[in-house]
Amino acid sequence: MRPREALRWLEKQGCEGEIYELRQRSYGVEIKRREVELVEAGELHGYAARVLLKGSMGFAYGNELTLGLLKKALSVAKVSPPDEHLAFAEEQKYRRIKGIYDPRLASLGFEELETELEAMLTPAKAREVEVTQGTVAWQVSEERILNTLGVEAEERSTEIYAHLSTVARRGDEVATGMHFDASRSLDLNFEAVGEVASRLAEESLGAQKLETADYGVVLRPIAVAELLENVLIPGFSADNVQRGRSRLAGRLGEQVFGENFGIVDDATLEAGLESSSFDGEGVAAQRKVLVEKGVLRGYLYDIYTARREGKESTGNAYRNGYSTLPHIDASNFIVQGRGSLEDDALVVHGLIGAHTSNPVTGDFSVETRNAFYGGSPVKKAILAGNIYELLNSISGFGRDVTQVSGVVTPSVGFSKVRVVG
Amino acid sequence: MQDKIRELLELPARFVDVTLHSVESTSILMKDGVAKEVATGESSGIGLRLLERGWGFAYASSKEELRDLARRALRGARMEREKVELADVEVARDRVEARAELHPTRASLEEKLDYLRRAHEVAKGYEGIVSTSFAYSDASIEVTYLSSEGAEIAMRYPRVAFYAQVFAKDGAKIQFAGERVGATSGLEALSNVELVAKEACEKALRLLHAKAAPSGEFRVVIDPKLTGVFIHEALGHAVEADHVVQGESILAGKLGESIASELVTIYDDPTLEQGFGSYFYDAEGVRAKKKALVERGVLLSYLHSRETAARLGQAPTGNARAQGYNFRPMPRMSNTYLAGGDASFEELIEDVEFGVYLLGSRGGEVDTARGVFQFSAEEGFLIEKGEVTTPVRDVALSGETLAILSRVDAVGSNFGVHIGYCGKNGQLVPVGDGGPAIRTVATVGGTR
Repeated sequence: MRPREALRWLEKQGCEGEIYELRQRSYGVEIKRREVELVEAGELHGYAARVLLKGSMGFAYGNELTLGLLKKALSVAKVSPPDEHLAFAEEQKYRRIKGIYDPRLASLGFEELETELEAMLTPAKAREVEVTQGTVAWQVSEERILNTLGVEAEERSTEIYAHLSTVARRGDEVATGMHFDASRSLDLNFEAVGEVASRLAEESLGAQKLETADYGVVLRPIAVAELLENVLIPGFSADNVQRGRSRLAGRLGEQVFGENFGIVDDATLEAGLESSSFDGEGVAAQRKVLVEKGVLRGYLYDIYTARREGKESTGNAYRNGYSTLPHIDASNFIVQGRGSLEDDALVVHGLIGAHTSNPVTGDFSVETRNAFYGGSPVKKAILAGNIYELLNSISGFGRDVTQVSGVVTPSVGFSKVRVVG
Repeated sequence: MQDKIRELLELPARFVDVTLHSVESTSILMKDGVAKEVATGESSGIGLRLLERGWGFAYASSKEELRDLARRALRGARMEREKVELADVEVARDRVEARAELHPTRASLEEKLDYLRRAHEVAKGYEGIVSTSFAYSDASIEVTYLSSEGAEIAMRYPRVAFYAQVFAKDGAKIQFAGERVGATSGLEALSNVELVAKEACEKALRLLHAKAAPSGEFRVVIDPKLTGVFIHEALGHAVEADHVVQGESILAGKLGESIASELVTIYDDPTLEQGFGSYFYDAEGVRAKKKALVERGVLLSYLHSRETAARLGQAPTGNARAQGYNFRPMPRMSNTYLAGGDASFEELIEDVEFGVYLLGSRGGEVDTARGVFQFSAEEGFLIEKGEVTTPVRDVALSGETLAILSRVDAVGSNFGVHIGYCGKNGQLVPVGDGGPAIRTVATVGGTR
């Protein structure tokens, strides 16, 4: 059945309803040892229904929108406890976000990628670095949300991703390099992906052990993003805040971080990788100041958590495909700051095991990838500390602002971090 | 349905295989005693591989959509490159189903909710536990595998899991702890949710009063959960043969060589009864089998797909796995564990002058080419003069594969295999990681 028919049927059953539809075409090329090993073309298509019956929410998903799917959602609602704060989005206006759809990606064929692949693989050849694996993947997504309160939202978007892993060898020594980038348009810099991955491997040869001590540390954008996604962003979720699971709970208006640090969450960012004119519940995209000069200004809400506090949703309900319920997450999480970087620091490009950090206390203990001290590569070093202390000791910011998945950030310098060599 | 699919095998390629995958699932998240997020549904689709010079891979939720995508994939498979070959395997025709006493499709939502209620009752009894999340999930999976070589395999298996995450608070201090249990089986595997909830609560409360861990290289004793993730990161990924073929494994060229202490024997076993990473046939229709990866310190085998086995001229091991129909198969672990030894816990710690005893896993990651890995413990204790003393907080360990495996100097007898999800190139597959408690030397990433 069509979404509108489904909503009419749900209304007849005396409940409110919402239909989400996702259609995604994905293409990819996998490179192994400089050669294309596999090409991939696929389609995902599915629906999710949420129903609100006497204050209880039910959810069901499937490849097709059928009466059976709607009945399943109703049966889920019948075993779920009612909650007055559950609601769907009201009818509202959406502003189209610029730069998130590129028709060239929608019609791109494998054969037309030859120049881009060559551009990505050439730097390794020039540097006598081996390519171990690489990926170029792109997709076209169409999302729709309709509900019985009059919401009708529809959007298409594109994204392309490129990644390259490399190895450099000297005698028995092995060094690795890795870089990736993503874009909403075909204007992705493939050569830079190849160049950075190759340079990192080559420059990491000759690595020496570092003494265990406290050091000034500069995290490059990929490392900043890996850390913030795992230990800081969960703290801004209103769900975690309300349930006492966030160290930011009850601290609105307080100087929580250093004065030189700010964060904006902006789902309207032009060409942003996490930009979208509406969220997973059909709430219009917004720009929110979360931290201003170190002072905590706000949290991230969906409709439910906002209603619990008598507030409006900030449009931060996200869907991971059609088979899961929306959950709170940041959109484009933008790090802002002042001050320049110090020279005397351990410079770290990436982290190993950032996902094992503690999202509640903010404690982290992670191995480094491509770390350099005084320009020389470092063999192995764990960074250990706490994100809430760290963000009070920022020594400066680079000028290299980049978007790494959801995080938009320059390099960030910290005056003192425990480094275990 | 199958007859329509069979037509796909006629596509003009050297080799074609088709996987039909359908999943029916239910998940329930209980937040602070209230069932908040209940989701149920089913999805299915078809994955198609075509081999010409290289691979073309197409997938869709319907056969109609697949046609056009398959043509594009086939053009890609014909791109100029060194020809990919496949190792010969026995062509299987089989129908298999995993045992389940209480199949998830036969249990009501109420019955499923009850596991979470029971867990919540336990947590309520602990003062200081301020917030809980208990999650239930099940999946009933049906896979049909067909190949142009004549393979025809139908597999059905249910998988269930229960996750506990609890938060403890004392003044301004918050800590959390998790526990989980699951199996490739019916709901009978979740009979002990009370115990799982209890362990999570007690761990979170212990962490409130734990101190920061020390930093530096120490003798460490790790519990079975941590041994499991240690083996997974230190050895498991580096023996995945795609890494070996791509020149990004520290263990390339080391078959038959001693890479670990004589106390170390490691298996990968997809036939483990109820194992979270168990399967009958892999994603290329190769019969699953138990194999020793390391025996008394000597590296014996890699984990292969048919392509990597042909490439290295070795026997296929049946380790090609895929997350679903919309993912290409690649070499993966199943249930990977270090075989138990004979040391008691007292023997593991008695001659440690100063070290750290670490427990529980929060996962890890490895750079296979350098053999540098990190894995995280949920909690620990100092070991001083052969005795377990001060509790310490969650902390990571890191090491280099060859150094740390050869420094394993004691292996305990308290064996256990635990559930996890392993991520690789954007695909998550369920795995089992296990072993006994062991003693080795590692870098401990504390802040003191």
